[in-house]
This record gives sequence, structure tokens and C-alpha cells, in this order.
Amino acid sequence: MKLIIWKEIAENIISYRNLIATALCIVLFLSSALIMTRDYQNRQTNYSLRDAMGKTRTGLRPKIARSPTPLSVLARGLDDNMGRLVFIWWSQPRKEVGADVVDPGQRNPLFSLFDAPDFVYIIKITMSILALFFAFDSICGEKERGTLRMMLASGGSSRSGIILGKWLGGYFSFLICLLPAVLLVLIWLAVHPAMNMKGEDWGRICLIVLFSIVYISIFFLLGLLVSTLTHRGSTSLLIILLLWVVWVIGSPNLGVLVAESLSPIPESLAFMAEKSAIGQRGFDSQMDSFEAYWQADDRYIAKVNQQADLVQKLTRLSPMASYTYLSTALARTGAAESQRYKCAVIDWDRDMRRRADLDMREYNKQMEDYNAGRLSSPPKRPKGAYEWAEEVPFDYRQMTLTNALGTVWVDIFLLTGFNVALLMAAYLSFLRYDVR
Amino acid sequence: MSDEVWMLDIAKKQLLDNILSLRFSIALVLCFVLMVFSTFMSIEDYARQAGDLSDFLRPDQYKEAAAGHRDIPRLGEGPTPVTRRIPTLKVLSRGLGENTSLIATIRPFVGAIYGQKAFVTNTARDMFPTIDLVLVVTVVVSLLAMTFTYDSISGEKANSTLKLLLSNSVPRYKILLGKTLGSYISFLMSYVPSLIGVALLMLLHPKIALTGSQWWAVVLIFIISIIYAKVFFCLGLLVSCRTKDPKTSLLTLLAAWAFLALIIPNFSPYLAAEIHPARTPYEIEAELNRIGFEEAEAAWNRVREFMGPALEERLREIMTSRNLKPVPGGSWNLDYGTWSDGARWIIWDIEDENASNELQWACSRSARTELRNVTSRSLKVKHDHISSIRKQMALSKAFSALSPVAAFTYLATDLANTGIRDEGHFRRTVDVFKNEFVVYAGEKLANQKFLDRPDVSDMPSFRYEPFTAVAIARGDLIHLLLLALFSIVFFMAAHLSFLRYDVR
Repeated sequence: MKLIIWKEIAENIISYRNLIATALCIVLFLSSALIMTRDYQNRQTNYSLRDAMGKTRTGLRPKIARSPTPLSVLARGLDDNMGRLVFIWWSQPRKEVGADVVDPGQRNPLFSLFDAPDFVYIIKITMSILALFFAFDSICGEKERGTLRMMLASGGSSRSGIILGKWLGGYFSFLICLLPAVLLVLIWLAVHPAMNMKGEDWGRICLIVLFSIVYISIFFLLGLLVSTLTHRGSTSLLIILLLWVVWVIGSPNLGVLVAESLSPIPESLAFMAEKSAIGQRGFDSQMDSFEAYWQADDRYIAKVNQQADLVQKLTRLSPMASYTYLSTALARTGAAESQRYKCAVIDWDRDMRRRADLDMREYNKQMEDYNAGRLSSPPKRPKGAYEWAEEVPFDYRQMTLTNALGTVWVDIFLLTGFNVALLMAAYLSFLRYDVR
Repeated sequence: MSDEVWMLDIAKKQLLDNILSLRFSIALVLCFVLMVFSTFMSIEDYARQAGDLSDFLRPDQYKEAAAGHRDIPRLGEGPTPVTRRIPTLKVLSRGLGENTSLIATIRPFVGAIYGQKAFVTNTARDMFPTIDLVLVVTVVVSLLAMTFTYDSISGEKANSTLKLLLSNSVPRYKILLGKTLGSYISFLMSYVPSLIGVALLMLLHPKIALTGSQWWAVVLIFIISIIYAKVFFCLGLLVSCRTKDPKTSLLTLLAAWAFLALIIPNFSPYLAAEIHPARTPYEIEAELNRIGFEEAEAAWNRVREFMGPALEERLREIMTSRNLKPVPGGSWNLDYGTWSDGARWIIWDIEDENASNELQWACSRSARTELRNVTSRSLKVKHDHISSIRKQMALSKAFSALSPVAAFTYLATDLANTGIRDEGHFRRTVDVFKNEFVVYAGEKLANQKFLDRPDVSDMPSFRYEPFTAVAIARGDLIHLLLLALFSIVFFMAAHLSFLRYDVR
């Protein structure tokens, strides 16, 4: 087996394919890092101006925006979505759920037409295809050349030795093309003054790289499996092309459509109209009306979360979805982080209003005492919700690494499971492979 | 046999070979399932969205909103929402998706504010582009088109049949034409049924009804998708004429495809932003807000000057009694919103009718000056920024012109009224209306007292007409020509390569 591993590596390293692949990886990853770092700096500049935004338009309304995450350079995910400036205004409970998103002006709409070319995008699309290129003829190519029969006839290698040798040798030589580019990206992130990575960030980056390697391995094994099921390289390539389209492009995107159809949620404008009916009911106090609106909001949020869960379940049929969830969770730009951030904004707003309400109740009670002569001096004016907001500012703590991993353990399991299943399938298939 | 008969025989053989091959069945089933199923789901989604938003996208909503403003300053402060219909053809091409503006809220003192995606949404769906016909064509159909030609020549060589074929007197270009014709017909036989399926679905589905112009757009999208597929078809042919075995052909093609379809379009906007940076949106917004704040402060100072210290002191008392904090050393605190709120309180408080009327006229004059100044100062900032964004977009489009995927995406999204052309058109139409409405609100301020209810029966009207399919095709002709040019260049290059192809 060792001999086969070395043969694979030696053959691949000197091949034209490896040279092209190494150059492609370096160009793609470095240009992506360069462009995405610049984009991150622009978003940082934008973020730093948030306090100057809406001075007259918003007055004392609390303005909230999450600062761009440095790791979004590798996995943009939902960082833009969380970075949007939101306002919370006094009659918010009657209107939109949670907060009011503000249009930050005109931007280049072409950014919305195509995906951001970050590290994760290159891994999940381009590198997955490249891994297939490396493996599609591992077995059937040997058969076409007539060398497979010789390898088995010589008695030096067993079938299991050949398949494991092909896997380890082939994949290792693929990593030789990939890792220099990844290393250059890491050096870029380490030396770039704008990035300012901390210890935990590096741990997260290492995990992203590790799971990228696990993800790409799935496609390498898929190529290996198909090559043990076919007898010609071109047939193998055609089949893996079809599988790639279905698995990477078709399955996750169709999963979203199906989930939306199975678990629909009303448009937010329509929901606000529904909420306006609540206002027709009589309430003893404004706080009671707020509580009623919040109950409606909670039902809406539960529906949204239900749809999000279904999207995740359906899309996880594709390793591309699992890898996306996993890498964005590690980069602090994932769905769970976004959900948590929004819940934190909503909870904070409610907390401020409840504090103000408690203050007001206490004030009214003291006023009654004062009017009845039970208090010598009038009570102090109560704090409003906005004043509480100034006193207890919104302070969001991002998920810890352990918590983030806890939200994506299914994806870790699935990525590992896909690897094991494909390796087993390739192994079993090769045991029955007709070498003639 | 004549050369033409030879050519037709080659075409027929290629056609039969392809129809009986695995790739034909794969292409037929995959295209049909993905395209028809995604269109069906998109129609359901469109119907649900249209039902939910029908009340909010009424075309005359802005008139009702304007009539509901109870005094002149409220007319200037808004909101007056103008809308457009959900583009029906988003069922084929989502384009900008949730970034497509459907509602713009006009606030003459501020400008036009475009609707944003809500704070609480299903974020898991933001991780993946929703599948639609355009995504299927750009990714799946382009790959399948290449599989019909990747072995046209290199396959014949690998099977050693090319030598036999050329041993006849038939010229090389006729062999190439015959192979191209046969392969292309077989490709169309696998692809066109999906288009027919999508068209029938749109015709028969009760939840969608297309107008004549929209049917033209559908037909054009279908035709352009065939031209687009032809580009990759010819690319396959070219690579097949440049390589010696089908495996190398397919490998080279996939690398080229990854570059054309996945790299160039996605890198282009970022590269353009790097070369031609524009100011960030918050920078612009902060500057506009600064202008608005300065002018509001100046307007309030004019009113304060007219009111005199006694009325100002009275306003301070009113504010204190309402638990509001007056600004130190002044009266109205602009942080609470607009000064017109303070003006209203003091006007309502004045018992003498003449004094109240005089203050109202003074407020109207001051508001009108504020509106004029804000508009003229903001216009320059916005104009400079939009020019800068347009330059960036032009540069980005120039970079992405290297990719047929980008050309097809621009064409299809524009034809479906979900692309950047339509978004720009809607925003320009809103801007024109906003400018008319600013002038209109200014006239009202000049001719009516501050707290008079505005009569808006003569207000300017807003009507948004999306571009017709023919107008878009004319405007996007460059992309169409680029697609045709890609096909011609690849085919010509294939022809030249085949003339020099080593058949040994």
C-alpha cells in the first residue's frame, strides 16, 4: 500500500494537472483574500459611521448594528444581514417584528446578483470540482491503460491495498496543490493590519481549514467510487458531473423551495396588517398591549424558525449545505448566530420597555402616596425606555466556539458520515471490480 | 456520394449516436425535472407573495396616503409610499431577489426611502441562491451542452475512426459541420422539451397570467438560453478539436467552465469596486443627514426668531409638562424629530387668531426655505454618488463581459424585470416623481397656512411602467451580440483547429 501511495504522489506531483491546479488555487485563494479583505475594510468604515446616520431622522431611538466579523473574509455567510443598521422606535411593538431596518442608501446592485467569492465559496464550488478531476480515473484509468491487471497479477498488492493507496496517495497529492494557497491566505490574514485576529480566531480558522479538507475529501471519494463503477474515464467523468450538479447545485437550492412551500410564512407587511387587529382590543395599559403584540411576534418568529429548521434539514442532504452551515458557524456568520443576535435585540428592547414600565408603576404608586400625604417630597421622574437604553446599552456577546460547534454537530457528523460511507462503497465496489 | 450527402450522413450518425447515449437521457431528464419543478414551486411562491402583498402594492396607495396627511408639514415629512407590482416573471428569474424594490416611501424633506428586507427572516435560505430557470440554464444546461461535443473529434480519434472518416474525399469542414449539426439537433431534442414544459406550465397554471409583452419576454429568454447553450456547445467542439482524447477534453472544458461560470461573474463586482471605489452608503447617508440637520436647525432658528422669547419660554413649559427635555439654552429639541411638532403645540396654544395665523405663515415660509435648501444641497451629493456607482457597475460589466454566464444573467434578469436595469428604471421613476412632489409640497407651503389640511386632488401622479421585452432586448443588445460572438469565435477556432488536426 505504501508503494502505491508513493507512486500516486510521485506521479501526480510531476503531472501537468498538478501544476495547473496549484497555480489555480494560488490565484483564486489569494485574489479572494485580497478582494474580501478590502471589502471587509469598506464594511468596517461603513460601520464606524453608523452613529452619524439618521441624527435627525431617528432622534433618541436606539441604533444597533453588529460590527463586521473579521472571519467573514473567509466565510461571508450572513454577516451583511447582521450588519444592517436597525432602529427601535417607541411604537415598534405595533409594527415590524423586532426592529426597523434602515436603507443605507444606494449601493452597487451587482453585489446582489452574484455570490461573494470568499474562501468558503471557492472551496465548496471550485475545489469540489477540482477534487473530482483528481479522482475520476483512479481505478478505471488504470484499467484503460492495462496497469490494473498487472498490479493485481504481480501479487504485491491486494485490492484493499490498492483502493486505500489510491485514496490516500491521490488525496494527499491533491492537498499538496491546495495547501500552499491556504498557507498564503493564512499568512495574508496574519500580516494584514486590518485583520487583527485573536487566539480564538486562529482556532476557528484552523477548524474551517480542517473541515474544508474533510468536505473536499467527500468529492474525492465520490470520484473514486464512480471510477470503481465504470470502465472508461470519460464515462466516469460524465457521471460525476451529473452527481455534482444534483448534489451541489440542485439539492440545496430545491430544498429551500420545498421548505418554503411546506412551511410557509406570511410576508412581513401582511403580518403587520394582521397585528393591527390586536390594537382594536381594549387594554388596561400600554404595557398590556405591548405584551399582546409580542405574543403575536413570538408566534411569527416560531413560524420563521420552523421554516428555517426545515430548510436546514432538507438541504443537509447535500454536503455543500452542511459545509456551509459548519464554516459560517465557525466564522460567526452562520444562521444560528444570526438567530441568536436577533433574539438578543428583541429581548433587550422588551427588557428596556419592561424596566420603564416598572419604573412608571412605582412612580404612580409613590405619587398616590405623595398626594395622600404619606410622602413628604414628590417622587423622582421615572426613566423612559430610551433612557434605560442609554443606561443599559445593547451588548451582544457572540457565541463561544463550544456553543457554535454545538449548533453544527449534525453537520460534522454528516460530513464525516459521507466520507465513511463513500469510502466503504468505493472499497466494496472495487472488491467486485472486473479488472479484465 | 456527393459531399452534401456525406455531411448529412455524418450528421445523422452523430444524431443517432447521441440519442442512444447516456448523456442524452441524463440531459433530457435532468433539464425537465429541474426546470419544470423549480418553475412550479416558484409560481406557488409568487402566488403566495402576491396574495400577501396585494393590499400594500395598490397603485393608488400614495394618493390615499397623501390625502390622509392632516396638515401641510406632514405632507412634506411623509410618508407617501409609491409601489410597483411584483414582477410576474420572477418565476423564471429571481434576479435581485429580495433586493428588488417594490415600495419606495417618499419623504420630501429626506428623499425616497426603499423598502428593506425585514429584521426577522428565515436566514437559512439566504445561504443558497434559490433555484430558478436562469440558474438551471447557467449551470446545468451549459455543462450538459459541453457533454454533447467534448468527444466529437477527440472521441473519433481515440476510437481510431477519425482516420477512416478522413480517408474519404469529404472535406474536413464538412465533417465538422456534419458533426456539429447532428450534435446540436440531439442537444436541442434533449433541451427544448423542458422549455415546452415550462411554457405549458405557465400557460395552464391558474395562479399566473402573463400579458402579451411578458410572453414575448419568455420567448426571448428561451431563445437566448439556446444561444447561450450554443456558446458552451461550440466551446466543447473547440476543445475537442484541440485535444487527443475525450478525457482530456472534458477535463479542460470543466476547468474552463469553472472559470467562466463561477469565477469571472463573482469576482467582477469586487474587482470593479477595488479599481473604482465608491463612498460607502453610510458615508452618503451621514452627509445627507448632516445637511438635513443643519437646514432643520436653521429653519427652527428662523421660527424662534419670529416667535420671540415669550413664546419660546411657553414652549419650554409645554415640553416640560409632557416629560420631554428641551435642548439646553433653546426650546425645541431636534433629537425628538422635526421642529414642526413643537410649532404645532405652540400654535395650538396661542389663543389670539391673528397671532396664530402670522406664526403659521412664518412656519410655512421657513419650511419652504428648508425644503428648497435641503433638496438642492442633497441633489449634488446624491448625483455624485450615483455617477460613481454607475461607473463601478459599468466597469464590473466590462470585466464580466469575458463570461457568457454574466451576459446571459443580465439579459434574462432584465427581461424578467428582476434585474439591475429594471431596478434602476424604478428608482429613476421614483426620483422623477419625488422631485415633482417636492415642488408640489413647496407650492403648498407657499400658498397655505402651516396647519391647513392640504388639498391633494391636484398632486402629481406616479405611474411605473416596466420596460417592454422589445425595449430590453434593444437596450441589452450588446450582451446578445457578445453571446453570438462567443459562439462564432469558438466555432471558427474549432474549424481552424480541425483543419490542422493531427489524425494519426
